[in-house]
Parts: sequence; structure tokens; C-alpha cells
Amino acid sequence: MDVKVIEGARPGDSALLEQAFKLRHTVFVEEKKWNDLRKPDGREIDQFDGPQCIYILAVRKGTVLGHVRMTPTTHPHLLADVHGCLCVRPEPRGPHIWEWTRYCVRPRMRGRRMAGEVAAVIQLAAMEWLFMHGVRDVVVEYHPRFLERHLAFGFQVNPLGLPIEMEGEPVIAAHMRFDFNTIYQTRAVLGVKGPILMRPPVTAVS
Amino acid sequence: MDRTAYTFDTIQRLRLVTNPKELMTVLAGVGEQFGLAKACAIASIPRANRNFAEYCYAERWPVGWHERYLERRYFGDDPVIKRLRKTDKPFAWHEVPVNGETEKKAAGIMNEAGEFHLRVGFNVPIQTVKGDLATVVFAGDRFELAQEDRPALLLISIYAHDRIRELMGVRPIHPRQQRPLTPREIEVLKWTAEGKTLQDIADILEVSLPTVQSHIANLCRKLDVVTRAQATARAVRWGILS
Repeated sequence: MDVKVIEGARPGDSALLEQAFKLRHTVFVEEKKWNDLRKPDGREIDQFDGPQCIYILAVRKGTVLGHVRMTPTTHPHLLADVHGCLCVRPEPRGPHIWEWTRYCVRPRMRGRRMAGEVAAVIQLAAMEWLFMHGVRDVVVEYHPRFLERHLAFGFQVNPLGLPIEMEGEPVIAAHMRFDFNTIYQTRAVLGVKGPILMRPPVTAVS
Repeated sequence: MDRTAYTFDTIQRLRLVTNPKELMTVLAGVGEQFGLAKACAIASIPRANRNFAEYCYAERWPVGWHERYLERRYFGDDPVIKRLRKTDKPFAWHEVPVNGETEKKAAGIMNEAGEFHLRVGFNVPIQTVKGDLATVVFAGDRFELAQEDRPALLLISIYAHDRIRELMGVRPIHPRQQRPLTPREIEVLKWTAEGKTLQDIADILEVSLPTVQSHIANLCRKLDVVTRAQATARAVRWGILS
């Protein structure tokens, strides 16, 4: 399985990204029934997609198996522009804070235990890319069950409000901070042996 | 009460506790705040009817209840446990229907709980990244929990569960990442499996008691378990002990 990082692309620029939009449609519209996102062409694209986004894709034999979108909070993003109601605390915003959204894995590639390999690779690649670009802070809006997961990974997770029911599911907004140790701990929890995007550490030879 | 401020404040206090006892004091305070002042507990829920006692992280039940529950093996018939396996939404005990005619054992357990002033209760199910099930439970004698209080208890419970896991050294680690046990640790584990006490093992191996304790602590961490009995069981399952 490969990880592809798509940078600076607009919808239509990249065949892999097109597949990712279709995967998003499959997962969020057809499976989760978020009907507001339904699109006639089956590509789930919203106002926040654009060249400012970084897309992390897990790809095997040309097929996109998983996706997460990373948006700088200096640009319009879901938390500030749509989900502000989830925040009691001021929304963290700035050049060193990014948002993770539309995290999804192709249905058959999910694992009950340890979240599955695709999910693990996406999670770690996203963390590594941000870390290499000096980012330690992310904001997310998700089901509260994911709090347990990120706490187990070693993130410092600060809720921005209480969970609120949206489309029948509770959603919570959170500000999460991580560091290099968090990357190690996440690897340990998810059983990922080494770096995905980062270079392996250089061993000093005397 | 400002629920959000109270919840954020409680999460911060949970971060600052340094041992399970302190954590349970904070949690008991939460129960009181929400009118469920008689008991609270954090437990992992085994898949089958394994020895439930070993899966309990920390508890504050009325004197005698926990012992009775374990001794009479209520775990297998407890309707609350059955509901936990089916839902990821927090629920109150009175929302678990028990048919007094067909489920005599279940109804009996709930009645007995009532005799211990555990008339009402609220459980938060927690699905861990490992795929295990855990729960945080609060109980009392009168249900006053508002619908709007539930998200607050959910959030507090997730943090309490994470913190106790951390305090007890059972943060989840993928099996592939396990550090192997040292030969000495395996030896200690073997004697443990044969029912030897720590002092017995210290005498057999001609080392001090603290040394044995430290071996035990290390191997428990490596095996990702809390108790010696769990360590033995897991070592057998993983093929370390035969």
C-alpha cells in the first residue's frame, strides 16, 4: 500500500483525487446518509476543497482505499464556517493549526480491532506530514468515540464544547495537540513499524 | 450549574490526579453533582464470562455489593452488561427492560442492587481502539439526570477511562509492538502461574521481594495487563507459557 500526498490540486486536476471524491460520496452520502452532501455526479466536493488543502490518500494498485483532507485554518474551513455551534471555547485558528475532515476508509478495508491497516496508515501519514511542516495542532469535529482513540494515541485532546446531536449522531469539536512522542505512541498502538513519509532516523557511525 | 464549564473543569482535574484513588474521588464528586451519589466504577467488560474481577479497574460500590456480585457470578446475567454489548450510546438502568417473568435472574440482580441503594444508574459504554469494551458507571437511589446532562457525563467518562488506563499502565499497544519478555520475567511468570506468592518466588530465585515485584510490574506492562492472573492468561494465549 502506498501513501499519496496531493498538494495544490483543484478538483479535476488529479485522477486519484477524483477517486477520493467518489470514495467520500460512497462513505458519507450513501453509507452515512449525510444527504446534504449528495451530488448528481457522485463526487463529494464542498466549498472547502481547493489547492490550499493537503489530501492524504492510501492507494493500492491504483485504487484509493482511504482519505483524509487537511485544511489550514487560515482558510475557510468546516469548524469556523459551518460548525461554529460546536464551540463554546474560541475556535483555535492560525497558520500552525490545521483541520482534519472527511476521514474515511473504503468499507471492506476497515478493521474492528486496531482500526485496520488503511486507517492506521492515513492517521500516521497525516500526523507525519503536519509534523514535518511544523504543525502540532489540529482541530476536528467527529463522533465522541474517536476521542478515546486519540487519547490512546497520546494526543492532548481539548474539547471545544459538549457533544451535540447532529443528524442523529453526537458530534464533538476538539482541539488536539501532538508531538514527536505522540507519533511513536500512535505507531505502537496501531502496529505500524516505522515512518511513512518521514525519513528513518540516521544512525551515527563513528 | 454551567454544564460545559463544569465538564471542562472536571477533565482538567482528571488530568491532574496521580493515582486511581484520587481519580475515583473526582469521579464520585461527579456522581454527586448529577444526583448519582451512591457508587461509581470503571471496568473493562470481558467478551465471555471470564473472571470479571480482573477486568475491574476501580470501583466505589456500597460495602458488600461488589463482593456479592463477584461471588454469585452476576456478571453473566446482569441486564446492564448485556445492554453494554449492544449499544455505544450511554443509557440509564431503567431504560433496560427486564421481564420479571422470563428473566428472573436479571430481575433479581436489579432488585438486590436496590437493597444496596443502587436503585438507578447510568452507564457510558466505551469502545476502545483495541476493539475492547469498557464502561464507566454511576449509581444512586433517585434518577434526576436531565437529558442535557448526558453529553457531559459521556465526555467526563471518556477522560476518566483514559486516565485510569494510563495510571494503571494499561495503555493499548499493538501485539506486534510488544517487547519480548526476558528469560527472568518468564521464570517469574511460570512460578506465578503455579500459584506461588511473590515472597515464595523471591525465595526460590534467591532475590529480594522488590526485585520480584519489579519483574512483575515490567512483564505486566509488556503483556498489557493489570493483574498477575491476567498476565498468566495472556501469556498462555500468546504462547509464551504452555
